[in-house]
Order: sequence, then C-alpha cells, then structure tokens
Amino acid sequence: MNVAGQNLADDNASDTEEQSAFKKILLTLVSILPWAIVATLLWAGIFVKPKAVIEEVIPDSINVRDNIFGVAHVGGDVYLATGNYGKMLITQDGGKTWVNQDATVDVHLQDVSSWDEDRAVAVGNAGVTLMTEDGGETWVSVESPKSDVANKLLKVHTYPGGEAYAVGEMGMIIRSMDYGKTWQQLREENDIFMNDVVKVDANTIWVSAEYGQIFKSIDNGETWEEIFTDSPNSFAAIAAKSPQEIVIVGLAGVVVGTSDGGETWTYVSPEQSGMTEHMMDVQWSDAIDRWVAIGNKGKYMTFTKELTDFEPMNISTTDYTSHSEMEIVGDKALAVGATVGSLDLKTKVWTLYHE
Amino acid sequence: MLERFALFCMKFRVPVLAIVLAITAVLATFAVRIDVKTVFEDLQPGSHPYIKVHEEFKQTFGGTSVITFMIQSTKGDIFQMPVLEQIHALTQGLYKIDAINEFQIYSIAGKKLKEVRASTEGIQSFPYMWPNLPESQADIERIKEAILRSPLVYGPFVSKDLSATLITVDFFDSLLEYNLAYEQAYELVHRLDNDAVDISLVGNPILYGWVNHYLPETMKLVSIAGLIFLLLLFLINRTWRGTLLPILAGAISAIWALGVAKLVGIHFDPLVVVVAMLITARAVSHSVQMITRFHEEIDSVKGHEEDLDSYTAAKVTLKDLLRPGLLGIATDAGCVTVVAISPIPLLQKLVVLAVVWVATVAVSSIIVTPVLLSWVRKPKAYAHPLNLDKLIIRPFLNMCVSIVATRARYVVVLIAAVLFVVCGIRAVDLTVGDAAPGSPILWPDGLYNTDSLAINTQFPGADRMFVVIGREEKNQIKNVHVLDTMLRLQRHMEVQKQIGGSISLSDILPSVNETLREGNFRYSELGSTTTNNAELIYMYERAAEPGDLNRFTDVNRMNASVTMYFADRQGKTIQTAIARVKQFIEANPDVNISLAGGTIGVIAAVNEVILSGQIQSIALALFILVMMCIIVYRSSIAGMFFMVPVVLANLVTFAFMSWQNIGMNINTVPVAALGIGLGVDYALYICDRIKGEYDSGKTHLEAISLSLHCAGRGVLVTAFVLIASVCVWLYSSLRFQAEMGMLIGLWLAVSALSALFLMPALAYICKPKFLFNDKVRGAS
Repeated sequence: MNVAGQNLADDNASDTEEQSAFKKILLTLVSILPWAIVATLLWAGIFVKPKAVIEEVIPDSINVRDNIFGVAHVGGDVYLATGNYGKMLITQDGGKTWVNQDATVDVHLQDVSSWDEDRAVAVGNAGVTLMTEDGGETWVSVESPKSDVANKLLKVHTYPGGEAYAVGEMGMIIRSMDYGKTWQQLREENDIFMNDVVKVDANTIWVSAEYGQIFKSIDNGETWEEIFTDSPNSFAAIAAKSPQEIVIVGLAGVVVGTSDGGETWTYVSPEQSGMTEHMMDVQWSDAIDRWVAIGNKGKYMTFTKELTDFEPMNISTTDYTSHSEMEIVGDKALAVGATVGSLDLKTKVWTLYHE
Repeated sequence: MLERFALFCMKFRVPVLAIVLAITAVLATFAVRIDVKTVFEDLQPGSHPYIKVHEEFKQTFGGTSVITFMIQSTKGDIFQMPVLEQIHALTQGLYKIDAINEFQIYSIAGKKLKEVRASTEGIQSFPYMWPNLPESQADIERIKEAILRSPLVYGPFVSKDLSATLITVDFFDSLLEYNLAYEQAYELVHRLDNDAVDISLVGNPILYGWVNHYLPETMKLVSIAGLIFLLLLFLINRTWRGTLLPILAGAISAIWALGVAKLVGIHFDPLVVVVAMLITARAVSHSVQMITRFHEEIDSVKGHEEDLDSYTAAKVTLKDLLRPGLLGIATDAGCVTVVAISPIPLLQKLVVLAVVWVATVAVSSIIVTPVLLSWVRKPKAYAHPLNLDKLIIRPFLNMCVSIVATRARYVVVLIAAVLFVVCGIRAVDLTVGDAAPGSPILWPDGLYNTDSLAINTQFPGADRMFVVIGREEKNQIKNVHVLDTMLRLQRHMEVQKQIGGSISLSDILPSVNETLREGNFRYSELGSTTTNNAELIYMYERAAEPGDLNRFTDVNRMNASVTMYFADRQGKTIQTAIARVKQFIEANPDVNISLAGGTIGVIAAVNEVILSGQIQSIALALFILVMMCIIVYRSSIAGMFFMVPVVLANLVTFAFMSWQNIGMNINTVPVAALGIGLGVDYALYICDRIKGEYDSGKTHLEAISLSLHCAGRGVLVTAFVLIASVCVWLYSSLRFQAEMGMLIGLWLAVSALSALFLMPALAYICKPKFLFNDKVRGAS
C-alpha cells in the first residue's frame, strides 16, 4: 500500500509538474493577451479606415436622359433603335425591353435601317456611317463622303438588293449599293439641310429639305430637280404610299402631299390641320387606312390619303415629350424620341415603355 | 492620497460646500442665458475638401439653407387661374421672409426661370408670369406650352403630370435664423393653402425649425422624466435625502456645465438634450451609489450619537467610493474626448460641453452628496412605510447572488457569449449616414416627412449636391470637351435610381441650339465646336438678365456646376453617388472635377468623416478605458475584464440600431461614444466593492454577495429609475429623441444586467488577482 501510495504521490507530482507547465504557458498567454488587445485597439484607432458601402448601379438600357432618334423594324417583334452618345439598341419583344449593342462610336446616332435580320446600317453626327452583317453583334464604322463644313446625317433608308440612301447637312445625299460597305455622294454639297429621303420606284428618289424645298431625281440620283412647295416651313420627313402618293410633314405641323407622283403638291397649313407642333415623322397605316404623323410635345395626327379629315391629338395626357421617329407595324406604332412607347392606332392608347 | 482628500473634504465640509454653492450660483447666472439653437455650419467639418468647395461656391451654386415649396393642384393641372394665383402669391410672399437671397428664388412666377424663344432678332427670353399673372385662358395656354418646351422647367420645376410646381428659395447663411424662417414660411403657407392647392415645404431651415418648434415639448418631457425619476427614487429609497440629493447632484452638474459652456461661447443644440440626459444620468447614478453606501454604513455602525453616525458614515462612504467613482468619471470623460478628434465643430463643441459636464459629476455627486449626507439628522428614519427593498430589491439581489453561487453562473456566461456573437454579426450592418428616406430626426408620418415624400414623388428630389467643373483657367467652360464631359457626368450619375435628375450649363445649350434649329428635336445637343458653344452661351446671355447663368457658371466662365437632385439622404445613396463621381473623375482625368457642395455635398463630407472616425473613436475609447483600468488596478487583466460589459453593451446597441434602421450620423455619434464610457460605471462599482470586501478578509462568495447587496442595489435602483424615466422619450414628437431614449434605455439595461449577473459570475469563475489578491488580504 505504501508502494502504491508512493506511486500515487509520484504520479501526482508529475501531474502537478505537467499542470504547472501548462498553467505557466496559460498564464503567459493570459498576460500577453491584454497587451495584444491594447496594441490592436491602438493600431485600429490610428490606422483602420472602414470602406464605404457602395451599391451596385446597373444602368437601364434606356435612361431618362437618353434621346432615341431612330428606329427600324427588322421583322416580327425585332426592332433596332439608335440614340445619343452612340446608343444602339435591339428589342426582341416589340420595344418593351431593349439590349444595348456596341456601336463602337459615341456620337449621336440619328437613324438606323435594316435589310434583314443580319444586315443593317446606321448614320449619325459627324457623318458617321455604321454597318453590321451579324444582326448587330458587331458594328463597323465605314468611310463615307464628307463635307468640310458640317456632316450630320439625319436619316437612312434601305431598299432591296443592298441599296441604301442617307441624307444630312450641307445638302448631303449619299448612297450605298453594297449593304452599307461603301458610300457615294449623289449631289454637290450646298448649304441646305436634307431631312429625309424616299425611293419610290426603280429610278425615282425624293428628298425633303429645309424651307419647304424638295429634291427629285428621276434618273436614280444622277441629276436632281429642285422644287419649291407652298410650305414656308422646313420639312422633317417624307413617305410614300405608292409612287404617286407621297406625303411630307415638317415643322409647325405643315403637311404637303401629292397624289399624282409630284406633278402637283397640296399644302395644308397648320391652321387647316389644327396641328401647330413640329411633325417629325410620317407613315401610312393600312390598319386605319390613314396617314399617321408624330412629333414634338407628345402630339400626333392622322389624316386621309386625300389630305382631309385631319385629327390632331396627344399621345397621352401625361407624356408631352418629343418623338422623332416611328415604325408602324399592324395597328401599332412604335415611337421613339425623348420616350419610347407604343401607340395603338385603333384604340389611340399610348403605352409608355421607357422614359 | 484618496483617503486624505476624502478626510480633507469632510473636515472642511462647510467651506467646501460654500465654495461649491458659490460657484453654482455664479455659473447659474450664465447657464440661464445659454443659446439654444442649431447652427448648420457647425455640422460641417471645415477641413474636409468638399466643405472647402462648398464654402467657395455656395453663394452662387446653391447652399444648404434652401426651402423648397411644392404647390400641388388639388384638381387637374396647375394651369388654371386659382392655382396660378397661389403660385404667384407665394412667390411674392417670399420677399417678406427675412434673410432670403432674392437672387436665388426659382419659381415659374419669378424672374429667374424663363422661356427662351427664337425670333428674327435672335434669341429672346421671357419670364413665364412675372411680374403679372396671365390675363386670359389663351395666355395660360401659351405659358403651359412654353413650360412644356423647356427641359429646364418641365421636370425640375413643373412635375411631369403638370399637377405640381416647385418654388425654391435660398438664404444668406449668416443672416438666417431657423426659427424665424420656419415661422414665416409656415405663416405664408397657411395663408395661401386653400381648396385649390396643397402646399408642402421642406429644407434645412424648416427641419431645424421643427426641432426648435418641439423645444417646449422637449422641456416638458425633461420635466416629466425628472418627476418620474423623483417619484421612483422616493418610493424606493424611502427618504427625502435619497430623493433630493441625486436630483441636486444632477442639477449642480447641469448648471456648472451649461454655465461654463456659455462662458466659452458654446451654444446648446436642442438635439443634444439626449446627451445631457445621459450625463445627468451619470451624476444621478454616482449620487445614488453614495447614498446606498451611506445607508449601509449607518446600518452597520451602532452605539454612537446619531450626528456622529452620519459624519463617520459619510466619511467612510466618500473614502471607499472615491476610487470607483473617479475612475468611472475619468473613463466617461476620456472616452468622450476621443470624439473631439473628429473635425466637425458641433462634435468638438459637444465634447467640451460633455467633458466639463462629466467632470462636474466628480464635484456634484462624489463630493457634495457625501458632504451633505454628513449632516443628516435622523439617518434611520424613513418617509414612508412601503419597503420595496424587502419586497423586491433584496429578493432580486439574492437571486443574483445565488446565480453566482450555483452552476447557473456558467449559463450567464454562455448567454453573454451568444449575445456577443449574434449582436456582433448584426452590428456589422450598421449604416453610416441616414438609414431610411426622409429625415431621421422626425417621425415618418410627421408633416415634414410626408411633405418630403410628396415632393420627392413628384419631382427629381428636393436635396441637391453640386460638383464644380473647371477651376483652372478663364473661359474653360466654353470648351466643347468640358461641356460634353459635364453632360456625360450627368448621364453617368442619373443612372443611379435615387438621383432624380441633374442640371448644368450643358442642359441649357442644347435647348438654345434646338431653338436656333427651328425647334428640331434632332438638334437638341451641344454645339459641335468650342466657338459654337461660346455663341450659344452668348445668345442665351443676351436674352437673359445679368446673373441668370450664375447658378450654372461664373462670369469668367472658369467654373461651372453640375447640380444633382437627390430623392433621399440615406448614407448608402450618398456614398454610392460620391463613389460614382470619383469613378467618373478617374475615367476623365483631362477635365478637373471637384466634389462637392450643397446639402448632400455637406452630408457626404460629414458621413465620410464619421465613417473614417467610426472605428477610430470606438477603438481609441476602448483603449483609454482599458489603460485607465490597467493603471488604477495595476493589472493588465483588469483592463480586459472591464472591457467585457462595455463591448457587450455597445454590440447590443449597435445591433439594435442596425435592426431598427438607425444610422450612425452626426446626431447618434456622440451618444455612441458616451455609451462606451457609460457601460463600465456599474461594473466598476460592483467589482471595486468585491475587491474591498475580499481584501478585508471575506471569502469569495461573501465578498460578491456583500457587493451585490450594496453596490448592486445602487446599480439596480439607478438603472431601473433611469430606464423608467428615459421611457418618457418614447413619446417625443422628435423621432430622434425617441430613438435615442430607446438606445440609452437599452444601454443602461445591458450595462446593469452585465454588472449584476455577468461580472460577478466572471469574477467568481476566473478569480482574477486584481480582485482577489491574497497578499493584500493577508496584510489586512
């Protein structure tokens, strides 16, 4: 028992030794810890600067400040649109949602037009001409004739076989015959704004311009005839229902039209139509069998092909913004400008898609 | 040395008291004359670069003292005579408000907002309806059309649905009196508010006017809180001295602090009332500790004349409680001093006030209370028979003791550990700046915040921030690249949802350009060359009155502003906006852009200062606390030990703030900093007493039990009484005060609970040497 007791005592002794060693380490740790904490506090107090919490901001495809100038119907619910600061957009759902494309330039793009779902052209400020062959995946900037004075291109329209016409400042009328790869100037430059262009048959091209002036070529752009209409105001858009039936709209609501291929032009004054705001675009609608014009401060109007029965209206009671272009498909007009929305031509209901 | 000082005070108790009373009387004459007001400039950290930009440009690009009125038509749009009449009358009425800057009135009935028209003579500009109202329906239609055409008015000053218009007015900061502006503005609004229109108004002068408006209510709440406090103390302590002495201590402290503040020229911000309450609570707590200890001494001393009893008891009380008392006060003062590192004048002034105030507690509670106690004639007499001590307090304290004595102490530590972790995780989400839209000072359903909501729903936002472009050479602003950069900055910033809009010279020029181009929307753009833009500016100026462009650019065309409108003042909104401007600056190094002025610019600077000081102030306050404990108890463990209740109380409160969406802003920072010092007071009293009893030969448990029954009683009583009176603040019309009341209540509760449960449990489990020192014990 003694021996056992001795053993026990020995065990105890070694236990105590181990314990005391452990205790020593623990004690050392405990005595260092406070000073470590004190040092950390001092260090944190002097050096640690928290970082500000920043929320991620995901830009909408179209922002309030964006102006969308041009729109083109590609097919089905697919549309292309262009706007300020190189904005190039595509929608697959009739304009409700848009996806940005990389236009590779940051000038304002005024208009876009397409041949099919792959090929399209766009034009804009500084004479920029862009083309795509892959539905907008890649846009390429191409050379085009330029003036030394001013070069804004305002409109572009495409025609079958890779033909395209663009017009702009300094009397610029240019044409491409190869899906927008190369461009030729069709007329000497002079100090007049060409605002819109339409080709009505194989050889006849009409261009609307400033101060009630229009230009006509019957030889596919070789020579141009200058015509002065009765309109005192500048024009903004021209459209043809047929080679004979052409309508032009413009500033302060002017309407000029012909039903005999341009032999005679009828001028409808703002007083007659009741529309005094600028009309920036015009198109024929089969759905309501009337012309539709749209423009500044939320105004639009419709009228018959005989240029009668003018009906000036507001697109809505709350949207007073300006619109520069529209595309009529069926009974809907997709309009772009300071806002983007769809106007139901039959029910006259405006659906705002983007502010 | 402490003992000698205590003896000295008691020996010369008459002259000591006389001196204190004399000083109090003198300071009282100053204290009553202290200015109670809010000075917005005091909120600005003067050394911050944003503030320098703000100060340089605030007179022209827009200051922080702006009142925004919104006139909303109750039926239809604003373009009808009854509504236009009110708009006109309100605009005219502004001239009667004192200190307005009449060059900074923007209204469709004023002369600064204009229609730009092109004619054969070039560009002309006309005020919409100044000086006279339109006379016919045709005139009204013309005005409506003109407004619709102007992006500078339609949107920023007339709502998109045409049902409301804004009128903004700026003030000369140096002449502005918030109260007067508030009264005059509301007087005007009440006079014009009729069936045709609803008028809302917001702005800093109005906000601070509201705070002042509630000043009488604040005072009433202070009185009610005081009364509740008095009643409860009387009920619990059962003696007049136990009731009146703590109040007296609080009063002396307040008088000294306010008197000194007046002497050194510091005004009293009404929002600081909460901090004042907090410090007064300290004074009262210390005083209650003294009284509790005094009673205990009286009960233990027997067989002497009553007079002698009081004197001796008071002397012992003073001697024994001098150390924990002074240590508590020193940590309070030390921790709050850290706030002074912040470059914000309001906080610096508040620190002076708070440090003086806290320091006076050393006199008012630690010295005056025992000195007065020494004269108590019948120390064993009670004023009423209801003995709450017997009924509630002692059983409760017995429970505290039994928790320490049983294994339940581990449960306490475990609960504390869980709280640490849970609250620690939650506390990380604490926001800097305002955490919710509207002003956090007022309740969301208060008139100011509902007005603010109404305005921010109809308009881009009532609060502005401007950045300054240029600052390098004359005529820099006409440069097409600079103008384009401004426009791109605006586009970049407006992507953020909370920025409702922005405005700059670059917005004017496109509309001039468009007007020149026969109103063709496709020409709504800047001129293509620098010369072009110079022409556009010239044309606009020729049509305008001198000074019309001043809010966009200076005469030398060296500096231009981009003003952004914010729908809210939330911390994250502002941080994101500032970060996005910086991002833009980085991407556009060739144009000099300086942050930031206007109300939001100033708040951004304040938030940046608070954010960068947030960890700094907490860490340094803790550092001071730890060092003081280490020095006083000559043990590094002591420092750690006392950090426990402080960190716990702070984590719980921060977690609560983050849970309740209370942001860390200029108003909450001082409360938070004071809280650090505050959290330790209770623990100090309890632990010091444990040490004292153990040194005198008691066992661990006996020492803890004695401490809980004496010092613990003081803690329990003060915490209970203070929490009860702080609850009054929940009924404040100022949301800020209610929230701070809640915070303080929470702080007191956590501190008291940790002092009563956690600290004794920890002491018993760890048995730290600085508390249980066998050498000292052996010696005694």
